[in-house]
Amino acid sequence: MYAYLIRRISGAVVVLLGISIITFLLVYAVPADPARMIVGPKAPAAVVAAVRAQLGLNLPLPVQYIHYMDRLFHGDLGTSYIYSLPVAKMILQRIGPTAWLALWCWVAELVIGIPLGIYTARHARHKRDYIVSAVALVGISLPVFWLGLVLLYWFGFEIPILPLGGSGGIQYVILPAITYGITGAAYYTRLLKSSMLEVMGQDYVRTARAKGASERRVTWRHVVRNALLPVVTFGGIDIGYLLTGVVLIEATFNWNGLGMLAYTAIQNDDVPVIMGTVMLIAVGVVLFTLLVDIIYAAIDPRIRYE
Amino acid sequence: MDWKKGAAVVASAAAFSLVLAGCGANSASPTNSQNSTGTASTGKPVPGGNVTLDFIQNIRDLDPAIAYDTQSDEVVSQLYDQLVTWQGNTDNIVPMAAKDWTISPDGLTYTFHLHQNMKFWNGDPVTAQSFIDEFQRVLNPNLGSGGSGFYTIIQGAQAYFNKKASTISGLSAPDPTTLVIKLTKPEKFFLDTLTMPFISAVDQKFIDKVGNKAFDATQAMGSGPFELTSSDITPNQITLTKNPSYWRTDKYGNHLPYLNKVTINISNNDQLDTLHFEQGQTAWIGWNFGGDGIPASSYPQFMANPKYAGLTQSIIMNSVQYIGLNTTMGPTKNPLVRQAIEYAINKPDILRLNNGRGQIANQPLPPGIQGYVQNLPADATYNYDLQKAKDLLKQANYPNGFTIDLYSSNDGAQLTLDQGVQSQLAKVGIKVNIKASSWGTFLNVAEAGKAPMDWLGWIQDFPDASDFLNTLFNSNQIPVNNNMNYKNANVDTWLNQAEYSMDQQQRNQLYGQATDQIMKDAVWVPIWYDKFTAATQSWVHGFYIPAVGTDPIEWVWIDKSHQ
Amino acid sequence: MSLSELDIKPSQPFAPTPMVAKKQQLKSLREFPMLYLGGFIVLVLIVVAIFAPVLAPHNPDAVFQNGLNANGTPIAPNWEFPLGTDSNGRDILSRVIFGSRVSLTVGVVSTLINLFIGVVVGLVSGYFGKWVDTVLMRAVDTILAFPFLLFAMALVAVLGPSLWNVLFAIGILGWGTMARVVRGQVLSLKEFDYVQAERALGASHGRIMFRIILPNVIGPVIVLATLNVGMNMLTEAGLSFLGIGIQPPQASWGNMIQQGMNTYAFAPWTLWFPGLALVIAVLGFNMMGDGLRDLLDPHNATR
Repeated sequence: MYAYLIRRISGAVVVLLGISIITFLLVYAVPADPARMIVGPKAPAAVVAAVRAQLGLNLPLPVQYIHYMDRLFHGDLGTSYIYSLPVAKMILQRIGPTAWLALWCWVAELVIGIPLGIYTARHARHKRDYIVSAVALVGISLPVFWLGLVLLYWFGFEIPILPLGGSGGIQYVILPAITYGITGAAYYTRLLKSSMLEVMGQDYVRTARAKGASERRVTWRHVVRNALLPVVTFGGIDIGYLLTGVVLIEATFNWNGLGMLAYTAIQNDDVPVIMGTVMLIAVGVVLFTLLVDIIYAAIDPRIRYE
Repeated sequence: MDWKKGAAVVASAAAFSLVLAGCGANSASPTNSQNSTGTASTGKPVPGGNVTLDFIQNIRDLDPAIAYDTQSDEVVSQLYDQLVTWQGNTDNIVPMAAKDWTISPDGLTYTFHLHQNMKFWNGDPVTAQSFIDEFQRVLNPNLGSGGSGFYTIIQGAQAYFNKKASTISGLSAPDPTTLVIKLTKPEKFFLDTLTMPFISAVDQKFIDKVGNKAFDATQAMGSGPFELTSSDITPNQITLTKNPSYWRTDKYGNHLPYLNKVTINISNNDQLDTLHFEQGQTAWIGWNFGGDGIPASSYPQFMANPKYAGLTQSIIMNSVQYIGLNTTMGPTKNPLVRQAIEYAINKPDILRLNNGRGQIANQPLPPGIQGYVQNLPADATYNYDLQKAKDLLKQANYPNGFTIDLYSSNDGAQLTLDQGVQSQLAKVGIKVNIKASSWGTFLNVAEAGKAPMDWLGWIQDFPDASDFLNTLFNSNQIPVNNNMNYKNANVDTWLNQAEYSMDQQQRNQLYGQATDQIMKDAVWVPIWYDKFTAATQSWVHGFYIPAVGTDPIEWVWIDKSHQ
Repeated sequence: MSLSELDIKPSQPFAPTPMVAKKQQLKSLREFPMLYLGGFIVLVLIVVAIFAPVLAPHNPDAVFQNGLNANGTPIAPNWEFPLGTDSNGRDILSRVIFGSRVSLTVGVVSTLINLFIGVVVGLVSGYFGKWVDTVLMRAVDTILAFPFLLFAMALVAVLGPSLWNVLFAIGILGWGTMARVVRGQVLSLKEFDYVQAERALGASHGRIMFRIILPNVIGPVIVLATLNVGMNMLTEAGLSFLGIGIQPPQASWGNMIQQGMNTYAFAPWTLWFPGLALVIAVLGFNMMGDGLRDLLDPHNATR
């Protein structure tokens, strides 16, 4: 087990290094001058040059990268070019709101997805299955920002029962979560349905049925319970991916979180912030994936030797 | 003087690149309209109460030496005091921290007498040195102030800027309330440059304590009408609190400001922000929405509803939207081609794509600025005429047109305008490729003088023709500001002469000559002068759209019933 | 939300199936209404894209003098403009029709890029195993851990926003899942007797990988690719929403939606119709993918 852990963790470190290098290269390839972005268009050339020198932008790229990583290992994510704030602080301020939003988005996916999954599995190959599956598929086929805007307009303005965007407590979360839930639920529906169908074919389910257990009892006690494992696994990975996709939801609903921070930073060529947020999101994804793998390995020893 | 961002509209999703500072409008402008139910209401101001505002963008800078975008200036100008300022919604300069001043007959020496007893929020006194400290900060290249170029005309400023001197020799404070500024050359608009927040009173002791970075990001210490402490700043919200001992008073003797608290929500989606206003949650739509007040995306719906339209006021700003035609590269090198394009652009149709928010432009200078030419000569005037355009193209040896790249920023509304230009030029055989990108990437091309054609907007920092013509057309500004690489020896001579003349009559004449020549040479296709539309709730009073600068928050008061 | 190998997992591993068996399955297509309906939508989409110039009532890029109201707002649907006009005064129906070309191109070509990289990486990784597998799987982990949209944004910012660059960005970033699925299939297929037999007979690695193994992983790959087309169409729309998608005047449903969002409140048709077109197209691919999976699912054969 330890050997497996070490292998997985060192793999994760390699992945993060790779991400840092690629992001760094990419950010520097953007054809805009960060120094010019900081001082504005009217500043004399000498001011631009002075700022450029201060930021170390004149140094060769590998040297800049090494400086960056060196500071990173000392816990310093640098300072935002645009807002003059420590990047670590900017990220810390937004981790909470983004995690809060992501959590409810995920919950909404489960709340919508799992009952539909059970329903379609129980009615597999009936008209009802096809209709519900099709509806779930319509959900995945919706662009999240399109649905979000329409919902915002109707439930925030025409029938003003919910806030018109913005970040905050539970009432601010409802619309984004529903939007995300609708556009993501079908993944869970699909997964749970297949998983349940598989379990339904297992001997112990047939046995339970043969012993005269009620259909409801069989479904809930035997099938759903056992079929949920892949769903939980997928859920773990999904939370990681949710972080990478959160930018669209945040942009639609005006949520001041990590996604918006990264997005604004890309628009403004705010290199330290781009690096910080991309790395953080990547770490999140890698950690969640690692966690799922390790739990899996703990449950099923065969995986360790794969 | 600054680029006004494209269509000056920030699309809902792309609301992030900067809307640069400056602003303005001229009160004398004929289209200046103030709605009767708007804020022209009179009556004695009632102090007290709180308001909430939406900001479409986060505050980038709190340091007055660095802040140079409208969102930052909207806050910074409430935190700090300048020497002089603009009177109401006019372009008259009136005293602020300086209660009076004298200018020597040669126009080189300015002597300001400051008010007594001005204090920073922490109790430190505001003195002439507080301004000298700020000059030194702005002129220190390491600080990265975008405003340093305005003040290098001060004696010794260039040497200080180049680090050849440790102080600025042209600045002195014979006593704590007297500030003397000596210039190297006379400059008619020097006072104008002092209205900008760049030159605010700052507490150097405080800055030394917290450091420049923090002073820009979280730690303000001013003497202005509102106070801001670091705990008032979160990623979502900024809270301004009344400075209880602010020294300025209104004509009734009330101390400014009237409001106790201003809560600013950072909310990047301007469509949603407009809906917040319609729901009555926020007090006004003004410079807090950037570019043109009520955003393009919401404007038609807003104005179609009498309930909301009645709350608006609007002015034509001192800013211009234009298509630049590169004079040194591609087919537009040929003046005939540039003139053909002038004739091929149907400006009213393009303005219609902007919901009519503007006044058709025929020259770079907006009508609100002295030097504007009332009657342009015929050979500098272009009216939409497809046949003439085609003839000119034939003469220029492009009978079948050509292909050209149009560079611009990529905001949603800007793309609509680009496409309007594209379809109009297609009618004379010119195929336009739209090269729209993020603001930074776009400027990187444009300011290198490498865009064959671009769409830009320019907005005043202060209402002087120099801010437009000298900056944008003098060959010494190639390529950053004069990014169409325009070079005409006569124009240069006129502009340089006008720059240092103290005779306004003569300046107007010189600028008129330059304008005629620039338009004859068809360097720009000026499209429109922007219209700024603000909206205020019926219970909000004292608000006006300033001719220069950002919203007059310190003058706003609200109905007792709303407190 | 991104595709995951779990979209495929329930049906794996696919046993190599003799061709005869597949023919029998074709007969039972009627059991798969999703596949039918999805396939029909996709077919219609392809026809519309091909015959766009014939079907569209107007030039999609033409700006109509009578295409805007006096105050500059778009015109509601009427006889001349069946789906109304957009904020430039252009015919939305024609643009929706021509937009199908762009959306389809983005969806399909970027998927082909995903497919190519994913299949090659997956095959090589699974087949050779050992350090090759380790290295390639780290690369897959890296690509999967990237915040996809942000990365695509940065990439498009570098390359400049154009149809081909958007396509390229989506193509080059979206192959991770494909590679993992293929690798998983290969790992299990490698152990089958006839693969081992070919090896013993001295077949080259290339032959075994591409002639023996590849045809047998094609099933799940097709399912995933079909779902991927819809996903990539949504990604293009997402990039357009963030302001870096296909550049006008070329109509893509993504940039039409983006433009429509600015006029939604007073001209809802500018948002509805391109949105609807996109949803229907993506739905078509999703239904087809789901149907294909059901069709190829070994469980279906046994039940």
